[in-house]
Amino acid sequence: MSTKWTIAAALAGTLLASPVGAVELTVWAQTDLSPSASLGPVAEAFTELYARFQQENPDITLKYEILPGGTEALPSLLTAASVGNLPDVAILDSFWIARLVETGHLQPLNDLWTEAARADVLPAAVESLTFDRKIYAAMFSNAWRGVFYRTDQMQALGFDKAPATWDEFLAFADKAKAAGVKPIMIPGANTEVTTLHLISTFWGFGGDLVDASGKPIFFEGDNGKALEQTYALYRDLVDRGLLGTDVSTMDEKALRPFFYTGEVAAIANTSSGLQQMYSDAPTLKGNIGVFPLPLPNGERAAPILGGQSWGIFAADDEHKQAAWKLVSFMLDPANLTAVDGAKGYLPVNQSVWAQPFYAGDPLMQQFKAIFDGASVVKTRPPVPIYPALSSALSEQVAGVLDGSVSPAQAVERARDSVMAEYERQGAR
Amino acid sequence: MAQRSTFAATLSRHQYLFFIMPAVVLVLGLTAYPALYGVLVSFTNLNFGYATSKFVGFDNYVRLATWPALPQVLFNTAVFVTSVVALQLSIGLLAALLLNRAVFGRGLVRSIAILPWVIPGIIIALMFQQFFSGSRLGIMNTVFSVFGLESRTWFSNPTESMLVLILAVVWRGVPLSIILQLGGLQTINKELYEAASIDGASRWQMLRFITIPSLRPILLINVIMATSGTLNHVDIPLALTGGGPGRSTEVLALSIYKQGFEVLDASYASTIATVILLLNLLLTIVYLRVLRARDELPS
Repeated sequence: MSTKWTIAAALAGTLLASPVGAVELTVWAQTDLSPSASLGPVAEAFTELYARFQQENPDITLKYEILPGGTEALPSLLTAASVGNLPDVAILDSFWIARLVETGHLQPLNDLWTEAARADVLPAAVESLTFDRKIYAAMFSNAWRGVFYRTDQMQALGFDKAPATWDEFLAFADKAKAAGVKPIMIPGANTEVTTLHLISTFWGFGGDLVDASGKPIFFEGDNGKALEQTYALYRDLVDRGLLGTDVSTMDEKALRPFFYTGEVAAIANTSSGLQQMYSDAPTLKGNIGVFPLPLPNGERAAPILGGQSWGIFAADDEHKQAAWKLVSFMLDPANLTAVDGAKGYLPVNQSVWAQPFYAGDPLMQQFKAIFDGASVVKTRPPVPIYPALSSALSEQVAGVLDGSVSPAQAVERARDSVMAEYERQGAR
Repeated sequence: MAQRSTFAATLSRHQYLFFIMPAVVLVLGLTAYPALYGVLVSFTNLNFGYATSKFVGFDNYVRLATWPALPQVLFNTAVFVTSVVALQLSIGLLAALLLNRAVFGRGLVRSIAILPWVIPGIIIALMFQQFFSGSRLGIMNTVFSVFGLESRTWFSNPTESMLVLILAVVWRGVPLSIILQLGGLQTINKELYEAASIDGASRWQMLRFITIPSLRPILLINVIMATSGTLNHVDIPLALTGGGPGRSTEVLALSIYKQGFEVLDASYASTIATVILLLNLLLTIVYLRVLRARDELPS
């Protein structure tokens, strides 16, 4: 008797868990954007949202799977594409979209995503994911990279506002140095993060990485000058004793402990790390200010646009519609705020900026003002040469910092490395 | 009829093949096939940035041979592997000799000694990073401050960076050496030591003429495992130093990761991987030859 009841209960449970005829929707996301995220609020946000979606859509069964983190994720997706094992829908780094479009598996969203809904999104965020007039992904987050400081430390040094010009920045840094504090730390390890800070400054100097055809031009004419100025700025900071050569092995995460202890007055970091900073050092909440690095030419380091996006791979109508249902649910301003806010992401939707979480936070408003006031907002060029280009640019930083490579030599070395690879790629 | 009975007899004689085939297929499928596929990819221009690839002959090998950073990366790899293997073996032997003696708490120490081996490499890297962090939050810097010494940014100095990297890998690998060598020590006939003792041999002479020669097969296995393990190490170098500062701690295995996952150049990464595979094979042959030759000398 008890066996019969156990079997009946198990069957009932199975049927309830997966309704007959329910569409099974496979979702891929990196760990830190899933219910398994290590950051508590992010895990809670995704768990709650997926559960609610499931409840509101009993005809869809969500099955989420984890993508490898960081740079290993794109090769995993490409491998899955080559063996026909892609998910129905996935959270994708917007930088991968161009390459994924080439596989022919990423579905255009033009018919699903209404023009009215798209109007809420920063135009550049839509344009950067549009190829041949087809929109292939819906960007839902953005990150800003620039200089972070502690407001109490800034005040203790005698400043009531962030430096807006190069001279003001030097005055602030000199004061910090005189007070026995490291003035500024910028990532210098040979990683993509170093490149992002570097090209933000490079764009501020007016440089361009590639031309319209995707050919590297960062070393030519004014672009070459802009890159040399960028490396020279790093070297100049070292010569003035404002930046240590010890940053040459550090990424953004490695700089944060110095910030927590007050050993450094300012660090170049990312808005995406904000929640982690609050989690590591809760006293920082309400005590952080940001500013784009002012440059000697009167400009400022340019914000880089780019973040996470939702993309659909399902080709059959049933799964595509179900996938879009999930994407629209996740793009709802309140739901999006839950994810972006928990992760510390900046929104790309005006309606999300208007949510209390963003509208009521002075720091978030500083981020908004930086984006709104920037004369240049760019995305990393989505061209095949970019990974080699990024690696070549960041590789020079350690040499520039320790003085073994001059800024002009750094430009030449990056050029030689990238153009050799570009020619190899061109011969394909 | 006669043919059928011959076939049945052959089958019966070789029925062991049915038992070993699944394991052989599994091992070949999971190790030999990926390795051979990697070699094949090294002769193409497969790059994750492109949808197609084609055969390019030895282009990637020429590119690797003319890579300006190759001498430095090879030097780093040689220093890293030699130091790790030498330290791992000698510390492992010392610890095994101590644990082989009837000392108090031997069982507990044996259990604790294995712990570093079961911790994932990435966790060990993060632990050492925390330990040698350049900020005041770094454990070593906290210890330094107790003695009134200045904080150090350990990973910004090429030599210190390499030393910390070697230390982390040795710390993880020593338990394996202890287990292997302790197992070997326990198989040595005690009567050999008693006879040597009666003949008036010193402890050093017993170690040199009984212990180490008897341990030679185990040491061989240990050297091969430690060498190939260290050559292929990517998790600790990647998470601990990332190859920096500059390229001062970049080893060949890390170059594979960087080319494959950062530059997305799968074929070039496979080329470096093939070179490591050949290096592993070559070193194994050399070790086998050297140790076998020594075994043959007394006779």
